[in-house]
Amino acid sequence: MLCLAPALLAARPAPGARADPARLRAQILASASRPYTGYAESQGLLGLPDLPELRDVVGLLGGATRIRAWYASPTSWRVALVDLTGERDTYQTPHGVYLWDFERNQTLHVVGDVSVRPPWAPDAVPPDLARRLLRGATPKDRVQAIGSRRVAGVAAAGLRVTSADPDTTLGHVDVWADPSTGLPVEVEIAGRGSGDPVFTTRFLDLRQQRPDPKVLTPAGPGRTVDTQLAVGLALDRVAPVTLPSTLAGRRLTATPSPGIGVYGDGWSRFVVLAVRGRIGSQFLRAAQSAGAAPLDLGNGQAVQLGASVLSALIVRTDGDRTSRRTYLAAGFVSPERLRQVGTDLLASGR
Amino acid sequence: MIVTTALTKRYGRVLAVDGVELAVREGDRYGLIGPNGAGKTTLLRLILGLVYATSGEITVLGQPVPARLRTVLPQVGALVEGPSSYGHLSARANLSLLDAAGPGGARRTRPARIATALERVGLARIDERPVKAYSLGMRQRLGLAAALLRAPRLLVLDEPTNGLDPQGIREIRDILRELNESGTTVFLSSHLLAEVEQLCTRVGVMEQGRLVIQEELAVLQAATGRVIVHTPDAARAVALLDGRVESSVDGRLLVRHPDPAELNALLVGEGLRVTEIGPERRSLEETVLAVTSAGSDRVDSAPTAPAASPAAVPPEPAEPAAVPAVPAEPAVPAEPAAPAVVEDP
Amino acid sequence: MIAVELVKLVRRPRTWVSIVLLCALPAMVAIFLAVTKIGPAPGKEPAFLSAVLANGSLLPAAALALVLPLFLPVAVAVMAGDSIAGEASSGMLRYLLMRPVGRTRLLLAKLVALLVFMVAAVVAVAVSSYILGRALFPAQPGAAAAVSVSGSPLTTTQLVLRICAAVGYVAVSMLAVGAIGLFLSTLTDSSLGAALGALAALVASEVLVTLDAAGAVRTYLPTRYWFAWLDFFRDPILWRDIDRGLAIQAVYTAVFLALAWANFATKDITS
Repeated sequence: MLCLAPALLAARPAPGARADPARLRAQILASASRPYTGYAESQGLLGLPDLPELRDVVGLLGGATRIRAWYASPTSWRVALVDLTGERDTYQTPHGVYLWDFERNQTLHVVGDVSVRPPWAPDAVPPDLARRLLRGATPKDRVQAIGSRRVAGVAAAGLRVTSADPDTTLGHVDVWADPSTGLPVEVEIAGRGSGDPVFTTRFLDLRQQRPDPKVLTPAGPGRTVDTQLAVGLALDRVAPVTLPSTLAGRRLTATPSPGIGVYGDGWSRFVVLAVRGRIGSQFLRAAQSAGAAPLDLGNGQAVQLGASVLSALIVRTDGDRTSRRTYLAAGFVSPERLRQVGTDLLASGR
Repeated sequence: MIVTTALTKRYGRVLAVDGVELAVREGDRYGLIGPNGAGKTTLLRLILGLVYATSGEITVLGQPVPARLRTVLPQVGALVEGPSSYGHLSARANLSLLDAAGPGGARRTRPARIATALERVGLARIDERPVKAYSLGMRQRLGLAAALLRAPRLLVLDEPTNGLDPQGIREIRDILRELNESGTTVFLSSHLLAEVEQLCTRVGVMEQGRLVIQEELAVLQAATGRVIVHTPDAARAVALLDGRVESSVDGRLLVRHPDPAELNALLVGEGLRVTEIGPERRSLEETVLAVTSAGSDRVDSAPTAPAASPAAVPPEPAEPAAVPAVPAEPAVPAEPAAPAVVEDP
Repeated sequence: MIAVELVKLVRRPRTWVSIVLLCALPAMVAIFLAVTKIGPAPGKEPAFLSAVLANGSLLPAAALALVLPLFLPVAVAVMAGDSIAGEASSGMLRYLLMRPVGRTRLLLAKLVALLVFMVAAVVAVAVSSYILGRALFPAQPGAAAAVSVSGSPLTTTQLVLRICAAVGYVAVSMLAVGAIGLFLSTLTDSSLGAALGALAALVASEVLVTLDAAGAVRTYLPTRYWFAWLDFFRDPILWRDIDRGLAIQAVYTAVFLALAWANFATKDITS
């Protein structure tokens, strides 16, 4: 009986947390100004091959992650990835982004745009992820109310967005949020078809209060390096080439840096990177040794990687060391669409 | 001092103690005899509250046990199944720890108490060597000292002379007799009949968990109604006491006669020489052997014995099979009866 | 009786041997580290070891990480397994009980002695490695005594306080092992058997903790929050796992002590 008490307590019904889905969606999108302090755990079920330079992404999408978050405003927050051997902190300050890594004993000061980068720990915090996903949903996507849940002491109302876009591999996204403040507390992303969650993140502790400003100040010692960094992938490895304005029928919607392009919008948008020759070869080799299937796109070399809902593609044009190009494309898009991207890239590079 | 009623202890399917009605009176020197595995040690453990009874009641010093162990045990000194000590500590350190462990007694008087106890058992000049360097006999004495530490009213001793040499045994016997005379009740168990016979005033005999005899030693050793006469004039004596002589071997006559003194007067009156005359008494050994069947370490196919299979032997460690090494005291003619060889005149 | 148990603890060579061995492992690691300057790669345990290269004051934390998974619980399990079973096998148990020492009191005294041993062992590891760390490795440059895991500077007072808190937490983390060992110690007369039993429980728990398939029970395993002591070195301190770890230890300790008491108080002493 005593052993059952915690389970019973956790399972007690969340009282009257039903909300109009459209209103809740609007509330969530407007919740960026809501401060909070919390502890969240995310679980990714995307088994990715161990690509060099992308180890953090692989860990985030393919395993359990423990995250502490302090959020005062969109320009002032801190997210700490905690594990058994140390901690990696991301500080967003008005002066830029600082990255602290305990085990490397270094602080990096990131100069420049960080909007295009592989997923990082702050993306796994429920409010940020929920807002990002809801912003990406198209008006055609179906929004409906789902059962409420008790998350970190909050009787949270639920919302499901089912994608109407045939190009995305994401089936639906469930978001639970505090109906009074609109702050998302749990997010579940499910793949198309099976409907099994591929990524979940939820708060286990949450206080909707402004954090102590001291907590938000990066204080790490060691080297402070000013760096232009697309997190996890140094920009100097990107080949500054001009990317096609459309790929597979999708328009180029953002070019944060030469050689990096975001195509399309919504959940089916994808990123294309042009990487320098040697790095490209490394990627190609790593992908092949991870068992990626080679793809015949007419000319050039191509391999496709798929891990549940995430699709990735590496293509290399024909040519010698200096003239050939390697492109990396990834997104929650259908493999067919990505293959078309590969064909188009090879065609454009000729 | 110790009274048990219908005391029964069952280990699984084995009855270790079976309906025992023990009665140890104040001032007794009570000896509990029985073969190995008869349940002696279990009975002692029951009385000392180490083992809980399956049924029946125990009263020690007028208090129920185990309910009032806290008030009973401080007045009881005990030695159960061999002495024990912390091998890496000295005798004094061991006694000091034991003394400090329980209630009562000022810390100030502790060294004095320890000194008295050590002196009593003949370890007064013990050095600071760790106990593991001691001989078995020294450990036995140390165990006894531990039992005597609190000047108990009742001493419960399991095989107290185990491992001691003849001098040591004699010494322990004297100590116990002395303590008994100064008012301590002594309750001991032994498988050495001679030891019990020499020390105890009251005897209990255990056999397969039951207390089969409980009696004053004097009663057990009561005269058989026969007189043993040693005379160089055996032939004449046989003729004189015609029909009353049961046997005559080498000048030793066994005569049916109620009073040795009268018989002596008769023989001397007839001019016969008498070198030795006295009543025949049954020895304890005979009494015990008459009521017990076999030691538990024998595995005969006894039909009724619960301890017939080795697996069913109560968990009592085998006591060392000691040979009675007690020197017979010359004053007591306790020889076993001669074989029934009757020499007809 | 408690005083007697403490005297026995102190006068027993085994106590000192195990504490010295516990201190020797981190010392050995520290010396190798100081000579080779090769720390573990990021993401590899033990925690804090690479940080020690930059700041010797953090060696106590690294030492805790080193002894926590195996050495410390083994020492505690051996001690706990010996507590009643050792007395039984030496034959002293019956004499203590006839002295008389109440069975509950005896169990309590054994528990206190065990606690003292646990705390003494952890403190010895922390103090010896602090001294060694200061001697072998450079101090933190600048005014701060150390840098927290989160990167913020810690004053000497803060650092010492946090090390003390971690030491306390690690000592408490040993409670479940100790209580299981104590319980098994009342079941058997073999201290080795009891110690091995406690270790088996421990290893089972450590294996299940790493197993995703055991997710349902993982939260309730005694070793689940063992490494939460690291959270004392975060800034701000992450109390979540520490609280849970303390609660788990409290529950295991209460349950197994109750079992130990229930068993011991009604047990036939036949040793």
